[in-house]
This record gives sequence, C-alpha cells and structure tokens, in this order.
Amino acid sequence: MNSDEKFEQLKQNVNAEDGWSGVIVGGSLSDGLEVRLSSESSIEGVKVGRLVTIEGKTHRFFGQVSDVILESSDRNLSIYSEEISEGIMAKVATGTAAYGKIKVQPKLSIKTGDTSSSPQSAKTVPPHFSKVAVSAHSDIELIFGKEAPGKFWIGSPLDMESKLCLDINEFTKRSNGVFGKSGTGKTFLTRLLLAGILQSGKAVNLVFDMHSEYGWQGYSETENHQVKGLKQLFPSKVAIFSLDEEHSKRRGLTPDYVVRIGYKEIEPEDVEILRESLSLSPQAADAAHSLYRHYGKNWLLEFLNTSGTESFNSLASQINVNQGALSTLHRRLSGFSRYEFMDTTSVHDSVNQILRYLDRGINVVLEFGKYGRDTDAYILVANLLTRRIYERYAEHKERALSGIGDEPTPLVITIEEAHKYLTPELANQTIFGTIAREMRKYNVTILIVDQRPSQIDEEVMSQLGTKLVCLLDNNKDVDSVLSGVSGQRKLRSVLSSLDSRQQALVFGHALPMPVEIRVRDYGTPESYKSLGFTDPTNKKDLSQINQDKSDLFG
Amino acid sequence: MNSKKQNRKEKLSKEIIGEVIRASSTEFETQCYDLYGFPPLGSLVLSDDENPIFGIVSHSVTESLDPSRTPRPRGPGLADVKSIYQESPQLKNLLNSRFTSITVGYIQSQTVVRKLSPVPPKILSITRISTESELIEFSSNFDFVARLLNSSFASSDDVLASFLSIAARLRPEPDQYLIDTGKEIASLLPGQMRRVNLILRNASI
Repeated sequence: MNSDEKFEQLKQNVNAEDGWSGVIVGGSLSDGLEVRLSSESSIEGVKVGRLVTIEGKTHRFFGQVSDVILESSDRNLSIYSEEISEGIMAKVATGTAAYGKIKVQPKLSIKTGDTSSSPQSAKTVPPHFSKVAVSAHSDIELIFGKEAPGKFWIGSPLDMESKLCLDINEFTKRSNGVFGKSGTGKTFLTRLLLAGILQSGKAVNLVFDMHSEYGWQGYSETENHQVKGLKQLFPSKVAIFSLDEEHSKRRGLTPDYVVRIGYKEIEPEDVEILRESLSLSPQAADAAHSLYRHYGKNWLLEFLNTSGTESFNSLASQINVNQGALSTLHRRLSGFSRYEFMDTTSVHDSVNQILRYLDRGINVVLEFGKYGRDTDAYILVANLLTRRIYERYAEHKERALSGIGDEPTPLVITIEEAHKYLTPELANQTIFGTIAREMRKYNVTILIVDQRPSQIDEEVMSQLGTKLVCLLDNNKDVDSVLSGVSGQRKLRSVLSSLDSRQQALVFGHALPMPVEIRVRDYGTPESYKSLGFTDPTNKKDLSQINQDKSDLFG
Repeated sequence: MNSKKQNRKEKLSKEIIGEVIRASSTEFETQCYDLYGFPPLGSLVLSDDENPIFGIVSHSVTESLDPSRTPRPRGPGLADVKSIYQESPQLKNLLNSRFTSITVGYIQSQTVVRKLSPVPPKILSITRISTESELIEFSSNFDFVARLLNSSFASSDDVLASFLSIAARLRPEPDQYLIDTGKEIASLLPGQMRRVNLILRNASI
C-alpha cells in the first residue's frame, strides 16, 4: 500500500461529519507545524488534542492538534465581508480566501512501512505538502500498544473509539499522580488504575482510602448510584482493612482486619508532620522529641496522663522545654484520645497483617470510615503505617540484594489529600516525600491523588513518573503539574479545554506521548465485565464459573 | 441511417457561422457569413479544420467593409431599424460582422487540450459554434479560467462571466458549477475577492 492509498484509508476511517484533512504549509519542530485544511474539511470537526498522522516522504509522523486558526488570504476580507458572506460567494470564499489552519505538534515518527519497531520521538519534521489526517485505529495501536497483559486499557483518545493502553510495568516503576479539581473524576480514574495494576499482577496496592470509595463500593455523582469497589470485582485479590469497624458493618461489610494503633507506636516524627494541621509551633513539635527521650516508647500515653499545673511545670523543667509550648502540645495531642482506633494497652499487629496480605499478592484497602473526615487521623495513620512498611520493604530488599530471599513484590501506596502533608515544609519529614524521591529503590512507589498539586513540594512533583490530570483551572496548579514537561504551552491549552467529567490529560513514562483521553467507563455491567468481573447471579457467568470449577477440580 | 447523417450535417452546417480572417497564437478573428451573425459574448467556438482550435468569443464588431465609406444616419423620422434594412438590402453587402475569440485550447487525437495551440488556425478555416457536449466537456476542467483572466482584453472578466453563465446553464446544478469555478478563480486572484464576487454575480444573472 503506498502512502496515498494509506492516506485515503485514513480519511475513510474518520467520521464523515468530523472529517478533515490538510497539508503541511510551514512551521517548525519547536513551534509546531502549520497545516492548511482542505476546502472540503469542516473546521468544526477539528478539535485541540486530537491525534493526527502525517505522511512524510520516508517517515510517518504522529502529532497532536494544538491550535485551530481561521486564516484569510485577503487582507481586506473584513471590509467587504458582508458582501461575500451569503449565497454562492460565501461557499466560494470558504476554503479559498477564508480557510482553516491548524497547528500540529509533531511528537513521534517511524519509518514508513516499519511494523516491527515502535515510534521514536520526532527529531525532524515532514516536508512541505505532506498530507495530514486524523490517526487511524491502527496508528493508535502502533503508538500505545494493543490491550494485552501489562497493557491496561485506560480510555480512548478524544473523539475516537480506539483503546488507549497504559504500560503498567513502566507505570509502577515510578511514583505517579492523579490530579484534578474536586468532582472531575479523579476517584474513578484512580479506581481504574488500581484495577489495572491489580489485573497485571506487576505490583500490589495498599490504598489509604480516605472516603471509603475504593474498597467495597463507591458512589457515582453523575449517575447517582453505587458502583462496585475493588473487593466486589476481585474478591480473592483484595482485602479490606478498616479503621472504623462500625462504619464498615453499617455498609454490610465485614472487614478482613480491623486496624488498631497503639499509643506506643506513635513516634515524635508522627507529631512533627501534623505540625501544620495541629497548629503547633516548632518549639511545641520539638518538645515531642524531648518527651520521647524522657519517657521512652510510652511517651505519648505518659504525657497525656500528666495533668495539673505543677506536674507540667516540673516536667517542663525536667526536659528543658518552655512550659507554654508543652501545654499547647498536650492540648492538641489530647485530641488523639477521641480516636477509637487508638489503643492504650498493647502494640498491635496492623503492619504485620498488612504485610502478610501484601506478600501473598493480595491488595489491601484501608477504609478510614468516619476518620476520613479527620485529616489529622488520616495523616497520622497513613504516615505511621507507611513508615513501618517501608522499613520492612527496605530490609527485605537489602536482604534480596545480598542474595538472601526473593525481591519483595513492588508495592504501590495510594494516598489522598497529599497537599496537606507533602508541602515543601513537610515533604522532607514524611515517609511519602522519601518514597517519591527515592523512586523504586526499595520496590515501593506512591500514587498521589490530589486536587491542589501546587501545594505539593516541587521536588516530589518533579519525581512523579506519569501524571494523569483531569480538569484544573487554577494557574498555579496547572503550572505545577506541567513543570518540566516539554511543550508546556501547548499542553496548557489542551488541559484547559478538558471537560469537567471523564476526561484527562495523561503524560509521562508510561506513555510515548502526552494524550488527552476520555476515561474508560466504570460502573456499568459491561464495564465490570470488561475488567474481568464474573457475576455469580448471571446464569451465563455462573455456567462459566462451574465450567472453571470442573476444569480445575475435576 | 443516411437521413441521420444528413441531419447532423445540416445541423453542423447551421452552426458554421463564418471563416477565420486573422489568426495569432492567442486569438483568432472570424468574419460572419451573415450580417450580425456572431454568437453571443462568451460562447465557445471552434475553428474547425484538421487542427480544431477552441476559442471563447470575447469581442464582436460590425462595421463598413470599406473603411472609407462609413454608414450615415438615415433619420430622423424612421419608425425602426428593421424597415431600414428592408428598404436598403444593399446594406448587407456594405457592412460586415466579425468577432474575435481568445484561444483556450485545441483538440488532439480526440482529446481536449486546454492550452494554446502549437499553431494558430489557418486563414479561411471555418468557425462553428461548439455543440452542447463539446461545451460540457470543455468546461468540466477549469484550466481555461487562467487563460481568460490573463488575456489582454480589457473586459476579460465579463467574457469569463458570460462563458460561465452559458456553461452553468447546461448543468443540472448551475450554482454548484459556479461555486466550483469560483474557487478556482479565487485561488487565481488572491486578495481580490471583490473582483471574484463581481464575476460570479455577472455569471449567475
């Protein structure tokens, strides 16, 4: 098939209503290529962010529409626009004196006819008059790969039905981020990503589920109905841990494990990261360290049991801390006693339990129940558990490096509201900052789900491998998400034109080029089925299950 | 069969309107057999010898055969022009009608070539009006537009408009034909949309 035939085929693949084609008339690699639309093209069919294919002489290029322009070859057109805006003349002028032009940013290129290798980033541009058309399904598959184990179908390029796949192996190699304003579909996107990681088996998930949306079931605001969580879809691969047993039971769910945190488990570092949310002065936060030195492991309980001005004064002088700072710390920390998951007597086994599940390849979702509304509780528990788990992973990994045992299964920890504890002031102190910076040294990465990326430490943001961004309209947030990405200006215009639902801009390591997607459906019976869910109440699925059983057990 | 051939011959002979009396590479002049026998402005004609050449009628003139004997007014008091010609039949021999056609193409091996002919038509070759099918075939490609617009005739835009008007009427969708030709004209006259507009307005009347 020569390039002309190929181009004709491309054009046929396009919906006639939105059909358009054009030729390169100028431009550059850095500023993008100028494409004049053919006179029969409908400019309203061209949308920013659309993936296009350019047939060069020796290479095929892939790019993205970054701008749509109305051009005129007649400088005086506006003067006599009224005369020619109607009847035959309007049709004559359209496509000749008044025509559409688009800007295309070339991203990738591949030698024409090469089917074995994958496209590389474009280092040159196609010549003048190269033909441009909307990418065909086969091109999307060539760029992003076909749906296969390790290639997770995340959505479709805008206005196309092709399946766009994410390389889960690359995705889990680094820490990643899902960003977007509240109500733009972050949770749905994250749930899909978690399902993708889970399906691939490349890594296990630990989800700190602030609003109890991932584990058992979530809620779709647009459809006003409940949607299945990971446990319902993959019952044997997901365990639900709960911090609030009553909340779980109210929802008809028996958690696999109820998490308890012993007072002895809390260390001064845990108080340090709560400094901002507890409005503690640096002196008051430092006092926690002094108390730890003074009382040892049981410092918090001993300290909270201290009462009376005299006892405070003597304690303050003993540990050499300002009495005011000490009483402030006492006031704020006494809030911990409200938490029913805190245990005064023993050190609990939550970390070991989580690790036991993770080691078996079972994903753990920790539901916070009513504590999801309490950011302090979320930060305290997520940080405390992650620090312990990370330490254990580090030990495990180091043992594996020295030849004892296998490497631990890569772990992806999902955290929400990160802007409250990954701020520039606190990022160095929290374990999440460390994980984000050290990448997958110890097989642990994080998946940040957040609505205010600008509040997150720049260094952490720069280390994120793949970013999935739903609509953001705050300039600072957009800047922080796009910092360090090439073609930032163009992506900015793509980002600002996203719909507020089910659309996202995805870029980074897991994809060869940035792409605007319509996120795959989640919440319909078909969507569950496409994720591998078999409904035991469905006769067809049931017969499949019975067949599987008899195949397995005879 | 013979009668059919005969009919065609007769029809063609009706379409023969004169003979070439002056020819150059870019245009040829035909003297009409009949006084006032020239075709309308913008008509497609052929100087039909062994090397048929297409021309578009762009300038017509009727004047005295003898330049030293110019016509004088016969009035006042005459009712109409028709009666003058009836009363003075000699006028038909004293006056002659001629028209100039811009060369826009030729026929080679039964194919229409929309270029200047390698050689101009021979003097005294017959000139005939093209048939409908010849006109439709010729006007289906817009290469002739550039020839007309670039000709040295002062009123070439009007000639083009007249030609398009004739050609469009032969088509099932005349407006679509004008739009398609209009796009060609617009691309040949960048920055002159007002001129394009005028041509098309004249063509669509």
